[in-house]
Amino acid sequence: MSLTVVVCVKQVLFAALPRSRDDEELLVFKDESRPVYALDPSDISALELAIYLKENAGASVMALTLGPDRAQEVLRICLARGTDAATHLICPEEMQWDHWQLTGLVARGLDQRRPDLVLCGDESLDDAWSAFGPFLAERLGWPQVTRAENLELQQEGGILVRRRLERGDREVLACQLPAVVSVCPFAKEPQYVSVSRVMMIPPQRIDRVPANCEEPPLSQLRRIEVRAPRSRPRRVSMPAANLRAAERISFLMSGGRVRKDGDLFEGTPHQAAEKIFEFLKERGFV
Amino acid sequence: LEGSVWVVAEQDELGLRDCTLEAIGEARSLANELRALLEVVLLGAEVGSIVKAAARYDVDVIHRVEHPLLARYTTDAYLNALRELLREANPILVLLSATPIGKDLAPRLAARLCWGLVPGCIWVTAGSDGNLRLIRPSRQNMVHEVYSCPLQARIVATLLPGAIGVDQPKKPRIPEIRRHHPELSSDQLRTKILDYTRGDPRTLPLSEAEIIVAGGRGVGSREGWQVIDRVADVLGAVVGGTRLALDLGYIPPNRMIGLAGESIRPHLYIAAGVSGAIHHISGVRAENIVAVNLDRLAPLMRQSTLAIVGDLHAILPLLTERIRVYKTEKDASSMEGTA
Repeated sequence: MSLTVVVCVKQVLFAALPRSRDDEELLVFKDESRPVYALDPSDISALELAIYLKENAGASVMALTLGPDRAQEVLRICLARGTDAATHLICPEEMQWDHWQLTGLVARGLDQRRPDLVLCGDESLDDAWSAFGPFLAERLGWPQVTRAENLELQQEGGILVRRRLERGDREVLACQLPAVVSVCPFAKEPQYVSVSRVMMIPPQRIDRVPANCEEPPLSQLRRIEVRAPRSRPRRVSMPAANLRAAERISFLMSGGRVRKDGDLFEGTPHQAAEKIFEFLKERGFV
Repeated sequence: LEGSVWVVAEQDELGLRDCTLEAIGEARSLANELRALLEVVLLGAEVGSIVKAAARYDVDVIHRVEHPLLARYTTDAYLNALRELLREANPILVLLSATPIGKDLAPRLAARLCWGLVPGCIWVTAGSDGNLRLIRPSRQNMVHEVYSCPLQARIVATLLPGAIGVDQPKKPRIPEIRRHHPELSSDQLRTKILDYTRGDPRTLPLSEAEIIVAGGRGVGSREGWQVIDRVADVLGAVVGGTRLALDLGYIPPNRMIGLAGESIRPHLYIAAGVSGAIHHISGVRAENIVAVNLDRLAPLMRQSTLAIVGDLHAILPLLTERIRVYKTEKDASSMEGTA
């Protein structure tokens, strides 16, 4: 029996656009009337991994997205790249659902397909929550693997996943199926999909399903403000009297937990080296 | 005291990780504001060696959760070990570090407990309205989002490493220590670690590097380039260079940074003898830039977090030595702390 793979993709706002500040100092996109949307880079990696499984292990691959009408554009890219089917869970443009509600909808959408493996992006370009994979795995009651960069099928039925950790470290995990695997951005070199191939995909190939969420949000958490980045204010703190003398001096020299941006320093080489060292120490690089 | 703030610790072979100490510092401030207890969970096969280190950071309660299956991180083992503990304790906030472990565990934990999640925070504090306020960068650090929720809501959050720096240790005090032996069996674990390989900065691609030390024409000669290599070695950083460094034969082509070479997004970028031509700096999106240059008017100096005016051949060897001495002392004190 062949493997059924579902790849969950997301349409994101292309962030590197010209921006300006409005009256409330909030960063806004200069041309809101013509925003540019794209397929998320980590979802592209997930899609490439799914296509790799199709080409090398005969897997059948379905792409799935959740979003307003405009989001079907990413499904056309997926179909042009080689997925066998595409499902669009349509929701209103102004939906404000949390990850719990979103993954509930997706989990219900997956019920009829009964996939063996769900692939998704690890960290999206826009909000970078890295929560979709683990939340969906919890919804489905499946194991999860995050930060995957490669995946192989095992003879005895599971998968071998190579995970990308910090500072170039790698870990190879054996994971049972079914499973949810979230894939790192740029893990796989994306293959070029020409515009004409995308344009040739008829909209009828996309299975459109209205999605409506009646579930309450997971918590009372609310986003109350979106503002321009600001450094944390200086925390003036005195060293405790019970510290050793060396620790007190070090504390005073580093100024406690302080961030100073845009510092220009001129002095002797010893002073300069000490200045860089304190900077690195303060920010946890040594 | 009402309620508690929890930190889930991470450790490596040297003891508690700096990102955990940062999280403890942030949680301590929050606990003080809320008049709550600070409780730290240490998970592992045997965590006795790091209890003393945790106690130096003004912790009220330390939970020792020990089991052979917790020796290495796996989602199922850590999740099962923490789930009942947290459900019973019902803390106001559970804080983890936004590391590969924290990013894997925090959302699953939040989903399992049906608690709220705010990943990648840079600031967790009590708001003036008595609610919890969490601030996180979004849209590739172009904006900050501010989240608010009542204290009874229960939140799992992760703190970005390096967001605030490590607090100074306090006077050691004796926290309450609670031991837990979770019931785990290998049947519960649906993932199994088969192999682990350490990354080598010399072969790591620039695009993946978290710390990069780069040089430019200002380095002057191939022999002079050794100062760049030495700083990179002592920091565990990847070496890169500008187009001129490539043309002069200091670096191979795959180490060139800039629009024509590799675009980089490290946490720390140290540029020595790099003027910062537009085609170079356009390929650099670093959180922290340290520039060392004789020319105070070089374009990169204006874009740096810390700009040092001076001779790199005089400064970098001193810096290398300073870091080496500090690391030796730190290793010695951590061995002492675990003894």
